[in-house]
Amino acid sequence: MSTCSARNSGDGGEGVDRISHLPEELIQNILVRLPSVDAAARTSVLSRRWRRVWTRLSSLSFQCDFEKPGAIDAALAAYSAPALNRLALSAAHALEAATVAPWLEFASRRVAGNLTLNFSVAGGLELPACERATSINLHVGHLRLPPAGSFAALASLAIVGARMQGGDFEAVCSPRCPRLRRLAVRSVTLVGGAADVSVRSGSLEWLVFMAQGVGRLEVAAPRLRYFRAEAKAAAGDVSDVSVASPVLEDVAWYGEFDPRRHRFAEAGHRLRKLMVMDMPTAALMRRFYIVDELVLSFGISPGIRGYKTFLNATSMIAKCEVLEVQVTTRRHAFSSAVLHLLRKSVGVAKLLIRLPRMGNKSCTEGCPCSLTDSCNTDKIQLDSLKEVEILEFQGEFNQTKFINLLLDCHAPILKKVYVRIPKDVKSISNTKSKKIRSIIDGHPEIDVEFKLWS
Amino acid sequence: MASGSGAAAAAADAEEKESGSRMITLTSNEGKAFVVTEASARQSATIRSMVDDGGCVDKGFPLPNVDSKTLARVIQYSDEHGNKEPHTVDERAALAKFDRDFIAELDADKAFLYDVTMAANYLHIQGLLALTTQCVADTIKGKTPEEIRTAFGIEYDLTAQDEKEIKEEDTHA
Repeated sequence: MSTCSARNSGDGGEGVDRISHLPEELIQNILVRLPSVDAAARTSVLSRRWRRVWTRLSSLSFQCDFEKPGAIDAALAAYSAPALNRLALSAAHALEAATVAPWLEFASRRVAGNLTLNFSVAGGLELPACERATSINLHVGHLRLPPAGSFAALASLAIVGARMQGGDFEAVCSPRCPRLRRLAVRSVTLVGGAADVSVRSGSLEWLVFMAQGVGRLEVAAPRLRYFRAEAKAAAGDVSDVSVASPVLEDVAWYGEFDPRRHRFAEAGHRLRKLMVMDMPTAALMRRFYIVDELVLSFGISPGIRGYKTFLNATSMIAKCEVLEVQVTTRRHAFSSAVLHLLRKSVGVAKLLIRLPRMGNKSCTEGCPCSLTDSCNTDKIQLDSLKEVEILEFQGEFNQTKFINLLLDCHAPILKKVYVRIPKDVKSISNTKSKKIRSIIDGHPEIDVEFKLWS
Repeated sequence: MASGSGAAAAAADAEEKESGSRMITLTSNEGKAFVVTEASARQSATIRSMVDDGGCVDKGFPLPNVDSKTLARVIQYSDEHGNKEPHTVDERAALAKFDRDFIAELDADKAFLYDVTMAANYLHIQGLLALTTQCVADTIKGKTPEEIRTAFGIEYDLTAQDEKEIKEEDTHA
């Protein structure tokens, strides 16, 4: 908003001080928009009206690289309101435990909204119990959660990139975090070999758990609806996971799914949304075999062998209404892979396909499309299909050819095909346009709409 | 390629029926009435909650804290943000440009900027409030206290006692 800082001198020329007559909440609203607490504190010397207004700001954000630790101590000591909505502290370098101790003490008593800590502490950071904080974001290196005390108001906790003990998750369980609805654990490393993690919560609805060094993950959360997991074991092993929730509706799994070691107790076989993020995960579709929205994302290794692995993994596809497909592979294997998924699909009404770059060259030796019937559309019955959306169309011949194959499938009620062209595609050559035109003309019963997509 | 203009008009019609067909009257403290779409009026959380509580939509809403000139300007903002929902990158860019031009004009008339800020606060129009308070913050940013006083016409009225306290605070930090 440089327009505002550019023109300023002389505006007060008439000598009328309007800004000082704004109510304090508006002056605070202005001060929190300054780049640092330090900048806000400097307004304390403007006039009596401005004295100490900054010490009542509802939001304080400190970047320790710009402000000396002593300045943060002084600012927190000067803070005069009983509680604040947000406290954010960050530093690019590791801090001493003694430096951050008074900050954490302040946070545990005064933060009644969001607490964000973004620094690491030599020897590890022990978070104190924060009774009043409603959301906490931690990006703190080595982390210990408190062995006692409660987070009575906490609704959302995010831990990113930390090293922790598995047992620390005890702190986020029901009696101590009675209101926790969202828990995000990302890029966390559990120390001490194969760690056991137990998350038992009567309030948890939303859980992302991405960690390595997991021996066993046990989730007992009767209200859990949303679950994303990647539980990597210590080297060479597979972790055990058990999730007990009767109301699960949205699941994504990263890494191998092994039904003998990964169990979803209490959940039915139907989900609102299932995301299968690679081939080793495909077995999850045998556990949840009816879903409203299915997202399949596969990377297929080059050559016939890689392709056959894909065929084996996807011999069964969950029944779904909306199917979103993303396959990364070399050239033609894409067309035959998608046709294979369509052959296996049941009940798809809407199909969403993200095209890879496929080039303009024709097929090479050893391409999966040379397998018998791999690109044969005769037996593909898409009786429920009403709408197709194709993303990332660049105009390449092989992409055009794929669309043609798709339109050749037996889809009696398909009326509409949207083809989205990314904005950076400036033009499509005449020959390519002609080819596209001939495909559209060849399927007069289907309305194909090409559109630039931002 | 795209659907015909008839279909587009029908879609616009349907959209209007859904959200914006009701018109709402806002009355300034000078008794001047402004008729706006409901979508525009809903930019204000204050009015939104009155409408949703089954308030007196037909009778209109008197705004005793807002004068006509300020209300007209606030409505200019609410119309732009309430009546159009940006979907594409271009539409979002157009809206961002509107905001820039809007605030640049206000910035040239600081007294009016405060009136609009007060009105945005009273009406709880978060986007507009963020725009105006950020504008004031940008003027403060990077200036010495003396420069800030000059920019806003703030009178130096600190007592010797205040100055002593400030000195002490400085040595702590």
